[in-house]
This record gives sequence, C-alpha cells and structure tokens, in this order.
Amino acid sequence: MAVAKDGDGSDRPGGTPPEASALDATAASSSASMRVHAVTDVDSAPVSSETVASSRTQTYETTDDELARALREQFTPRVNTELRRYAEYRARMVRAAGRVCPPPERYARDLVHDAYADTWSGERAWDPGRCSLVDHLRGVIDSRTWNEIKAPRKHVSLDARRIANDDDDRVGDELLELEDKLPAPYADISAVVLPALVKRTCHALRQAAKERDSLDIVRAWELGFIERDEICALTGLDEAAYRRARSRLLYIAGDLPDELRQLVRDYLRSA
Amino acid sequence: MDSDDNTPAFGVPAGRAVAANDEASAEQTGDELDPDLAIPVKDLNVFNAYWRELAVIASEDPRANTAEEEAADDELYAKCLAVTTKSPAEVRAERERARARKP
Repeated sequence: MAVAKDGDGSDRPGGTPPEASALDATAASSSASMRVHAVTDVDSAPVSSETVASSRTQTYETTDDELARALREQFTPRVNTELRRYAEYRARMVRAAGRVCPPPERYARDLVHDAYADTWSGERAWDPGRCSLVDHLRGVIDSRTWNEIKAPRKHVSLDARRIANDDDDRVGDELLELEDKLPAPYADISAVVLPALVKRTCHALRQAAKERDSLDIVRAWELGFIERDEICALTGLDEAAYRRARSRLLYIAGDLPDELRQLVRDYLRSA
Repeated sequence: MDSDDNTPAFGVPAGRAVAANDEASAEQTGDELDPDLAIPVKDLNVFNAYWRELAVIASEDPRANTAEEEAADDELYAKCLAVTTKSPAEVRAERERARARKP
C-alpha cells in the first residue's frame, strides 16, 4: 500500500492523527483523504507555542539549523511556482464552495507563505527525512482550505468572518462591500452553494465515468484515496492508464465554475 | 473506513481491487453523511479529490510564468525566504498576532 503522507510527513495508514482537526469526524468514519490531511488548521485551533516547540525537537530531533537548511534547499523558485499554482486551485475550490475569499491569485500566495511560515515556526511539524517539502506544504494547504470549506456555517455570515487570509486587513473591507450589495437574508450563501456544487460535481464525474478505468478512479475517490500512487495500487492501473482516465474524467466534467455562477443566480432569484 | 481495512485489496490483480472493496465500502460510505455539512461523505471525498487533481495538474503545468506571474512569484519567494531569517518563536508570534486580528 502506498503510504499516506500527512503534512508533517508522518506515515499514517490509519493511525490516529497526532493533532485534532476539524476533519476528524470524517476521517474516523471512512475517508482516507481526510486522514491524509487530518492535521490541525492552525487558524482555527492554535497550538501552544511550548507544545509546538518541543514536539519538533522531541519527535524528529530536527534542529532549527537543519530545518532551515532543508527549507532553503528544497524551496526553490520552481517549487515556489508549483505550490502557488497548486494553491490557486485550492483557493478556487474555496471560492466555488461559496465562501467569501480574496481573489484566488492573492489567496494562493497567502496560503503558500503561511504554510511555509507555520512550518518554520514549528506549528506544522515537518520531518524532511520522511517527505518532501512540496508534499508537506501541499498537505498544509489542503487541510487549511478544506477546513475553510468545512468550517461550521451556522455562526457564519458574509459580514462576520474573514477568510483565512491572516496578513491582509483589506479583506474585511471587501466583505463589507459585498455585504452592502446583498439583501439581509443572505446570511451564508455557501450553505446553499456547497451541497449543490458537490452534487453537481459528483453527478458530472459519475456520468463521465463510463469506462472501467474512470469508474475505478471515481470509486477510489469515493473511498477517500487521492494520492496517485495509492489509487494506482488500489485499482491496478499503471500511471499512464491513470493519467488517461483522469484526463477523460476532468475534461468531461470540466467547466463547473460557469455552473456555479448559474447556481448562485438561481439561488438569489429564488430566495 | 480505516485504511488497514484496505490492506488485503492491495496486490489484487489489475482492475479488481476497487470492485473487491465495493461491498464493504458501500456499507461504510454509502449513505453516511458528514456531520457538519449533511452531505454524503463519499460525495465530499469525490469533490475534494476532483479539485485536488485540478490543483496537481496546474502545479505540473510546464508552461513558463507570464511576466506578471513571474514578478508575483519572485516577491512570494523572497517573502518566504525572509521567514527563515527570523527565529521560529518570532514567526510563531507574528502568526499568532495575525490570527488574533481575525474576528
């Protein structure tokens, strides 16, 4: 079995995550993907500095010098660009889910920077000996954006909560501007958009999954497997077959942002 | 589902692993709803996986940056490298202050 890598580089084939997470409830039930990214969202659950500081040295025996060296060595300009591009799509996912957030380009840069800073500060433990920096930072970005989508909605309103964009106070102004443009009852559009979008996405993907390879990939996704290696191991597909089937799936199921816009229009019209 | 439960499926001949898991997985993920969102867990998994694949593909795009993207990436790169010129405690304190500014 391809071993799932967490943001901290830990192998986690079903063991208990080292930190609590908003994803835990899902992870405990059935989702391998949730386990993969079941690390604490530091923006919603700060960890005490003492605990963080000691956990890095005690668990991995990584000194600050070693960590700094590994960060500098692995964080190349190319890796920076790859991560920013990766984060942009995660940011688009948050936006597509109906969450108010900065433009994806700006949000993505914040995600990359914050993931890097949290790794250096020890809030997101990384063991360079167990996974690459790219994999680790992707995991941090995944968990933060997924937690943003999963954040409890009953207390959330468009004017009450800034997106996880810690370093930019301008977001608050954007929210207030947006709030001004919306009538009062629209407290949380994501509560409507997300279920509809998830349903449409799944419908489109399942419709697209006519061939056996594509069907196997969707089934693996349903079970919570998201890493290419583990899906190939699970399904028996080689990498070339995986890529072909995945391309067909994504091509056929594409163009969802337009559908989302229609969903929002429908919602606003009917509300 | 605990991933240990999947262990026997690995190594099953090509194309059979998922099918072999279908019965058990259907029981465990079929109608289970996410407690926070009241959306089927398996649908959330598919949604997350779909967007993650888009992100992976975007990150692997071999095309060069535009000039505007390159400038923004240079700025981000320098900002990240600057992080390690501070002590972990300093960075942690900065991040905590940033989070505290959030309502």
